[in-house]
Amino acid sequence: MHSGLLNLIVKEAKDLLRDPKVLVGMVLMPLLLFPIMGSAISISMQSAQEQARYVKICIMDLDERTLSQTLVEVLANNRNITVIPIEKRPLDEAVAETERLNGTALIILEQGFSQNLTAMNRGGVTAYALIKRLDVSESNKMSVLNSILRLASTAATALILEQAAPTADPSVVTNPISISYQTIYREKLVSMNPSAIIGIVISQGTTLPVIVMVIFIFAMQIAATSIAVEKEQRALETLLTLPVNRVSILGSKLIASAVIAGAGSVAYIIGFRYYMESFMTQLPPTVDLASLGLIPPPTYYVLLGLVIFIALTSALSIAILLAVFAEDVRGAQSLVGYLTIPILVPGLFLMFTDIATLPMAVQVVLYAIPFTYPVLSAQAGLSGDFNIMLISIAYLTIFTVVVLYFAGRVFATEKILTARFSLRRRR
Amino acid sequence: MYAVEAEDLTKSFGSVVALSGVNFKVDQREIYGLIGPNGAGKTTTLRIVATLIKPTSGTARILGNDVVRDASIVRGLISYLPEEAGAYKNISGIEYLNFMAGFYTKDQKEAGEMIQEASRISGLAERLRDKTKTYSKGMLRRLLLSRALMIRPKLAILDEPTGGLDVVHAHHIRNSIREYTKIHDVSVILSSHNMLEVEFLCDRVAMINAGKIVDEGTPDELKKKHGASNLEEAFVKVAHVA
Repeated sequence: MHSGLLNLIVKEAKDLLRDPKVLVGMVLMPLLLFPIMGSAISISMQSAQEQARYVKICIMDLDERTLSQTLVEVLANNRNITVIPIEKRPLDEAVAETERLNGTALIILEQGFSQNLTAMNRGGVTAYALIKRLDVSESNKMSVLNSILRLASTAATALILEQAAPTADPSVVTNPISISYQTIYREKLVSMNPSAIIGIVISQGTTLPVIVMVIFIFAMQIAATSIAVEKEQRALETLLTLPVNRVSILGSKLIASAVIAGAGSVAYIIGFRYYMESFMTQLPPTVDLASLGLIPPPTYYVLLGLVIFIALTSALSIAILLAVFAEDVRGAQSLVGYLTIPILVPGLFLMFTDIATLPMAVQVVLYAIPFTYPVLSAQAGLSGDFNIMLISIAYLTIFTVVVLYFAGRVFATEKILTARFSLRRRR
Repeated sequence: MYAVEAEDLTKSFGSVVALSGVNFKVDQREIYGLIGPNGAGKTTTLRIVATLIKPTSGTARILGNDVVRDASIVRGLISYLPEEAGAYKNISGIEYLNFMAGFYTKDQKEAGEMIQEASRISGLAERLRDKTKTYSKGMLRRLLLSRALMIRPKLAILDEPTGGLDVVHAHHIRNSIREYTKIHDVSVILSSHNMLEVEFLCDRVAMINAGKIVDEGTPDELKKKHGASNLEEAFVKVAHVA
């Protein structure tokens, strides 16, 4: 009798890889998803900057004195913003003119503006914002309006100083403190605002769990559907009467699923690396993310790939086991659907919390769930803690071996054909 | 030595008794039919003979090999065609046959001969190169029957071989079974609801009802014994008496 294992693996791999759902879901999705996400972030950032450049602000001088006229001139001559002076007219006509010019806001320098400044009082300015939509791009435009108002305030200060203290440097008076950010991250000093670094880490920390959850859930549904279809169509029944060891049948399914999982993991890592690199484009060229450990070394990707591969293999084994007990394909998909809970819960916890800060009971539950480890490893590895990654690999390997042992026992008995587990209420 | 020898076979699924003391013998090169209504125990009997499930009590032997103790030897002697079975949708007919041949030989030439044989039995010709998801129900059944017979098993176990097929495909399959078994010394045990088919194919028939064999004999013997013009009439009379 031939072992037939290789024969079974080749068939399984062919059947799975030729399934468009598997190819798209497991391989193409992570390859495309990450770069698309990275590009989306880059494009939206660039787009926001572009939008700010094309924002038009109208300005009307009701005061028409030297200081107010000088202020209008200063704002209108600024190269970074488009400020359009309009003639003095009634308010409703001024607003209409702003709308006609596709302006975002109308700034009015009130009567007495110059006189108040000369007397060291505050000059009146009214800003009319023309909100067209309630979305993010409109919000960006309003922030441009605020920037212009701040610029106006700075310019007005300079005008006051010219009169009150001609020898003083207006830029020093308006901004007397010179701030130099020095951030120490993982024992390395970098001249960078700490909020920028934290922003990157938070962004990575929330993206990883989502992607891991999506891939796991998809892979388990594929494996469960595959075995359930084979059982429903009685192809499994035929296989079990062939001169081949039943453990080989299980082994071939797991190996083929693991090959698919491996391809998925490689695609995931390639896509994720591309995604990480997209952050580089958003920062000044002087910032070296790699030196801060925010662009991880190759070891990180190798270990992360291994963690995902083993976790995915155990996930697929559980999915196959559950599907074997299901009555039909829909039943298998429903049963495996319940596994989304232990996949989603650790991901959601780790997205927003450090596991060490959680109550002990919750920590124990999370550490027991194998699907906690891909996310935990990914985050720990980014912080340079490779020990967590190694512990994850050890735990996942033990868990997977136990699952495989039970799966082997089920395949060796007639339970594989006769066992039925239904989620529907028995009548 | 008998191709199949079942002694006092009993099978229970929880509180449901599917088979109760079933005894029968199938000679070598014989086509033996099991007929009976749904739930009578036909498929359970075939599944025990095919080593898929174990009897609760009693024994079944294939050419002297016990289906439980010598299951791995038995699997090398038999070929099983489940009722309404399917193939793998994303592989072609020829790939499916090649995959199945791979369990019986490592020799490419021998495997090639098996596939040629299957091609002849199925009559699918060039369509064998297409993925099985493009096959009609009849074509798929022809492919699966050819797979079951191409390895020249000592015993072919066929569960409703023509179930749900149109006249043309059913005719092709019946002729293939008859021709092939006579040429290659294959024994067959099959189940069917189609009494005409059983009468046409089987050397001997067992009538099974409520998990028990209620009568057995050649189609002519059974018709004569129950004063019936065909097996269907004979079965109805036996089933009512039982």
